[in-house]
Amino acid sequence: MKRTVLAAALMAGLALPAGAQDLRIGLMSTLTGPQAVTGQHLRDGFMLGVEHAGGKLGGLETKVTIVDDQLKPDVAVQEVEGLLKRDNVNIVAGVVYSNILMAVYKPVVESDAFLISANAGPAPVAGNRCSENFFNTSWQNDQTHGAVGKHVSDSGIKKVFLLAPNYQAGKDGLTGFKRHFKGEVVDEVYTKLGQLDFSAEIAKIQSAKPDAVYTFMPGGMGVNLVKQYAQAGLKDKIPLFSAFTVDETTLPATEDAGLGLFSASIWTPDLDNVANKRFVEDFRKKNGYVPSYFAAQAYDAARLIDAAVRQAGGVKDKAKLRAALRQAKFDSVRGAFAFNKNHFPVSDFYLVEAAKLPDGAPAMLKRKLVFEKYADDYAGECPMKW
Amino acid sequence: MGTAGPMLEVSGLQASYGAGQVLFGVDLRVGEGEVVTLLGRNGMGKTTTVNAIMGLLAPKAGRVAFCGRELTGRPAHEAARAGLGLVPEGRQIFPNLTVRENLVATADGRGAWTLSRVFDLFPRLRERQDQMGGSLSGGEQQMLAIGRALMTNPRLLLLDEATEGLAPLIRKEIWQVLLSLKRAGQSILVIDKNLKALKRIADRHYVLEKGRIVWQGSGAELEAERERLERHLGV
Amino acid sequence: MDPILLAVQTLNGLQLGVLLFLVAAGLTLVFGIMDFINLAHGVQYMIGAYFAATFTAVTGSFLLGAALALPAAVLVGVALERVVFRHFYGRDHLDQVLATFGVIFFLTELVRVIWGPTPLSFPVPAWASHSVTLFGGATYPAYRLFIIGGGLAVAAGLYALVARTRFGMLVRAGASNPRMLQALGTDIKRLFLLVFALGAMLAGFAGLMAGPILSVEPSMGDNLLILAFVVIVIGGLGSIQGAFLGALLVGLVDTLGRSFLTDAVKLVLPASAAVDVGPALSSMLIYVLMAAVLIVSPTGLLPAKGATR
Ligand SMILES: Nc1ncnc2c1ncn2[C@@H]1O[C@H](COP(=O)(O)OP(=O)(O)OP(=O)(O)O)[C@@H](O)[C@H]1O
Ligand SMILES: [Mg+2]
Repeated sequence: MKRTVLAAALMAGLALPAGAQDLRIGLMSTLTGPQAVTGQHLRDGFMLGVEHAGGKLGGLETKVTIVDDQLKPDVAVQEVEGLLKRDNVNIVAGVVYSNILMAVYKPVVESDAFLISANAGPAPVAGNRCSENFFNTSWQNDQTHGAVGKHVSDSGIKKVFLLAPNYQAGKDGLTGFKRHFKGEVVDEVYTKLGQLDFSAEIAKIQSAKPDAVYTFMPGGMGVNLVKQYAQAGLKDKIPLFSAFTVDETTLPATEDAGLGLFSASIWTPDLDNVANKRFVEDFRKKNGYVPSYFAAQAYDAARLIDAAVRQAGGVKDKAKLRAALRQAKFDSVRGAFAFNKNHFPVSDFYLVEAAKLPDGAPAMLKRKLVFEKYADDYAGECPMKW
Repeated sequence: MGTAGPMLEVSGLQASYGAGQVLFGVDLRVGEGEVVTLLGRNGMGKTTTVNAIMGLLAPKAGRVAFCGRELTGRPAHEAARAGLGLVPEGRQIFPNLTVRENLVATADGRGAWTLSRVFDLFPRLRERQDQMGGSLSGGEQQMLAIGRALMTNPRLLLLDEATEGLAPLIRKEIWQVLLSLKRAGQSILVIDKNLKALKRIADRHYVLEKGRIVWQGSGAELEAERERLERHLGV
Repeated sequence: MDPILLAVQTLNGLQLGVLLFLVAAGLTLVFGIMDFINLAHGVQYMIGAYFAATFTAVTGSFLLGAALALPAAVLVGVALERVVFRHFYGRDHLDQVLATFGVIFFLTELVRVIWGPTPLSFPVPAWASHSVTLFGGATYPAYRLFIIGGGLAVAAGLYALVARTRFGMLVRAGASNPRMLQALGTDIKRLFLLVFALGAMLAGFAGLMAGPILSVEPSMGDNLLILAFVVIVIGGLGSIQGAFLGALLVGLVDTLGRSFLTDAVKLVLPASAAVDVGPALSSMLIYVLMAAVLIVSPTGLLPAKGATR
């Protein structure tokens, strides 16, 4: 044991000039299985962020170890153990799915490393289980649902039909929508997780005759729903609103069926700021596809780390690094970026529509502002002060 | 007995199920046009011998040759195509096929046997041709099993338990049919417990005991030594 | 209950049932005749969809794409049988499960490497992309009617093949007693290969029919495979008619359950509880059906080995 430590120290000494620090990051993403495309976006976004810093986040030699959680909490816990113990990472970043984040949350925030979620934002970690070692560069899950709810309400729609998969995130999503939707819910239908044929639900919608439908149907489920909804001839009759359902990861598959559908987001590829232009352009050039919010938030996570490490003068002083992270002095692709007390960003939320970029590639484009500087509903439960 | 060497030649056949050896070197021959019996008490290895000949069971040692073809260790369909027609123990007709389908499914269609010839042989099958195989009585099933084997135009018919468990009238009918087949020149290897009937149609007999041939001879020789053989035959 | 909704849901159930039948038919034949558990059968379905999507994109015609996809899917099936599956006939079921599970992993990842993780776009052919107005003003996607029609036609063809042809007799005979069939001169390995190819073709056909309504992605066969197993257990292993009956039952029960169970629960429970209980119950419904069938008839509704047709 002692010998290996000594050998590792020697090797580290050989690899680096004396006194130099390096930065070790574990990037956790979902890279295999049906939802791998979201994880791919996240990874590619983060890596572009590293590349834009010349491979040296905060000026330090940066080693990113990418691990695949396979969307399995037990696998994620194992992988994160490896990152913390074997790779000795300073920061664990990434994490697409909330159940994965909940699984790795405790091990990471109780270690010496920071945890920076680039996507998942479950309620507990925004509320009473918030941590000074945890940051989030996306949103709290309910916010996007709430933003759609507000828009649907604002546009005078009275009766909605709600549809989500039968699991915690599905129920939370519809609850988030209802918090800001003031009209009547004509029916609330929960489908089996992983269900791919929605003919029965679509027939129910037809029969219930609502003014609009709101759904949260991530991944392949959403692709199917959107296609089948259009095939049933309902798209132009009963507007279909959604969150985390129609985006740049699913539009290539839904194609025309998805175009014209509305959702909400903190970011779109057409947001007009310098950082975003550079990000979208370089991302498309490098990866050959249009980035989604998964990629944008991960890119922001990398840029946040870059700025904070630079400001803190390295990663040795954890308190200093934390203070720098809190200040978040970087040019976010979403424009202004600021953390709330619970380390979740306070962001503007836009109504977005699936449409085509000038070159014809489908993407979610900004239509109007729904919430300005929207703080999540759980921040009040977080006891953290700074 | 044919002069051009035997049709079926089995020598030194050994077979086992897992660790338990059942055949310890069986030798037997059947000549062209001959009817030969394989006798022996329950569990002596008669069915095992038949299965090993057919290739339903891979022999441990020994050799099976049929019409000059080496069949040892070959899959069962090759034995069947070489001209061995099996009427298995327990009849094993296909219960979910009709009588007619049982007959035509595996028919080879190139020889003398046709559906109508089989129906002439067993008129009951003609009446029941659209009935499911599984709905036939035991005797009818045995007729079907014989008809099914004949439809493959076998050069040698292998009958394992020709009349076991059948009503006397049906037995009679089957023996009658076998006799007529013999008269038409059909070679047959038959297993049964009915010595009286067997003696009437068979040319030669083999007695199997504990996986070995312990006696062989003609019907007259069998009669002469009957008392001594009774123990082996269990009749 | 709204009669129009009921009618539409019955069509939906029928459509699901028809797809299930196409997948279950191959599964039940392979299991019934070869005593081989092929978990990778769902992969055949997925591959059919991928081939059809690709060939349709290349040729610009759904029918042409389908015509190319079918033989390609069969080819993959035959290759799998030759390279992997035939070594596992007659082996322990657990070995088969492990081997075919390995094939699932391998092929799923291979498909991901070749076509990428993003679901493939496979548009509904233009001639069936409209909705048909049915009785009482309800509309129904023409393509789904096409699936029902195409599926029933294939089912009828398959029935004719199995019930009326010599090949069909051998298939049925093989399902009840393969050893005897071989002893009567049938090369059982060749029959197995043919049955396997037939199964691969049916699953591929189901995949290419389903492709335009479902998203074409590597895991698309996983869920369907589980349902197909339920179908063949309900119908009776090895039985085509059983698979047909089982598939329609499962399709209808699942669809009607999803559609009406929550509303039915609302009659006895408060709405907020019903919203929780209903979906849970409806997702269990087909398993309850399976258990009920097995209690009444342990070998399924129309077992292949039984004396009755
Ligand atoms: N599948 C099997 N597995 C293990 N042992 C077997 C098997 N089949 C037969 N045996 C054993 O092999 C021996 C010979 O059986 P076989 O069936 O060949 O006898 P048989 O002479 O045909 O008897 P019977 O007159 O009862 O039909 C018996 O001891 C039997 O128990
Ligand atoms: Mg016997």
